[in-house]
Amino acid sequence: MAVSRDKIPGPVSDGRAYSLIILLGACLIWYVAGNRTTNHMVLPTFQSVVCAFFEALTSKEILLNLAITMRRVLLGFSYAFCIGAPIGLLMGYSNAANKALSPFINSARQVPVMAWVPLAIIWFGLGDGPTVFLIAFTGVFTMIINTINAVQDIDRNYYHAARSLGATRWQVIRDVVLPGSFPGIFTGGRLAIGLGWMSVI
Amino acid sequence: MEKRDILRIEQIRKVYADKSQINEHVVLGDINLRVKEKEMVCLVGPSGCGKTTLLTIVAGFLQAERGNIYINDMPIHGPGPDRGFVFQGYALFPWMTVEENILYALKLRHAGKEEKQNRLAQLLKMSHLSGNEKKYPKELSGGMKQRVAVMRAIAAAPELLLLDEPLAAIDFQMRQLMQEELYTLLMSANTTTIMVTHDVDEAVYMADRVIVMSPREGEIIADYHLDMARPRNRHSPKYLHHKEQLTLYLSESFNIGMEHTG
Ligand SMILES: Nc1ncnc2c1ncn2[C@@H]1O[C@H](COP(=O)(O)OP(=O)(O)OP(=O)(O)O)[C@@H](O)[C@H]1O
Ligand SMILES: [Mg+2]
Repeated sequence: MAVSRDKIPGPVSDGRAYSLIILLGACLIWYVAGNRTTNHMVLPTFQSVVCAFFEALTSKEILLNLAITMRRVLLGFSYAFCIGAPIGLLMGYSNAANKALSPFINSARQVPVMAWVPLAIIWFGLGDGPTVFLIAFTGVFTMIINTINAVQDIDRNYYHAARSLGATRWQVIRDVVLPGSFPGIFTGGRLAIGLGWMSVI
Repeated sequence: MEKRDILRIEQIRKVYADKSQINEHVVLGDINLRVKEKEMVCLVGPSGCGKTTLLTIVAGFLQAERGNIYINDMPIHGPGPDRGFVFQGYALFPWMTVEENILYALKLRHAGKEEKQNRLAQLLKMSHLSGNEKKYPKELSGGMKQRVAVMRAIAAAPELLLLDEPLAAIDFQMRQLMQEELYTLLMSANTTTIMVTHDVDEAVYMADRVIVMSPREGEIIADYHLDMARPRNRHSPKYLHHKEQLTLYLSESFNIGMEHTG
């Protein structure tokens, strides 16, 4: 995406300008529609929502809650990352590990998240624990799968090049597998954080 | 004194399972070849005749079903820094700068800082890449990438340099210029070289010796020595004669392929 943006110079190529126009347009429609309806339970007016938003921004309680949520998401994500990335690296690099682990990963993945809620509460009590667990749980598979793909997508010739320049197995992992899969792992991380946010709500 | 053999390829056989898994496809039936010290050998043949397969077996990336590869009379086991490889797509590490790519072999054997600096300066000068050492591969032109790939392989001081169609990605206008440049580069590196190409003119311009492979089990149908002074004049009668001869061998090889598959 960055590439195509680079190619066309000028403001036309900047999607953000369009986003702003669309946002303003949507607000305008909301504003007009909100002032025309009488039942504000169905559609609150634009002004009242904006006011509530700014009140919320300055309210200590809400900011505190936001901080708590963010902490949970980040904590859950850290677990997902620290567990998912190494497992994904191993499974992507070694066919044997992939074959051995994927039945477990695939069956655990199929269980709906909600089914884990009671178990999570039993394991972690009623505090932050279950929430963090669920965030980590939804994120970890995204991390694993994206990392596996990232490793498997590395051009075979990079391995060959490193080996023919004298690299040992460990040097290949350090200099080819890790940097070569980094962009894919990064994408996995972004998706996992996104899923984390969605699952707290 | 007779020059010694750097490389010995003995009775190499390589078979791929057919798509149907029933028939097998014998890519290399029984390949034997010796390459002498400092020789520049070009490997030509129609597409699919097994040039890349043979080169990757010599590199150690691929295992043969039978036969042996010897470097200085020592059998090879897998890839190693005694054989440098220049890939068709170059395979430069995109996460490393030009300098890091070139010095990678030295880093692997924990060379000292001074050695690295000296070697880098020497290689950059040789390849006219000075000033580009901090760039990443994606910032380079095709020709520059190709030079970095050659330098990265040469930096390891290999006994034998293997190049798989190193100029295939270079457009037609630049090709002749790049052939001269690559040849000069290889000469100054003073290595033994096997280069795959499907361009007869390229082979006649660069090689001491041209090996023509056929699609029938990769059989070598000609081992053609080019005794011409350098730099070669592409318009001299002798040059044109060699080119014509090799073109004949190549079309013979092509016909063998038609019979073999048809
Ligand atoms: N991994 C593989 N599995 C099955 N068949 C293969 C495989 N790799 C190569 N082959 C077959 O082996 C034959 C030789 O391939 P190779 O790549 O060595 O040819 P080549 O001479 O380098 O051709 P080109 O000039 O097109 O690069 C081809 O028929 C190809 O289809
Ligand atoms: Mg090939």
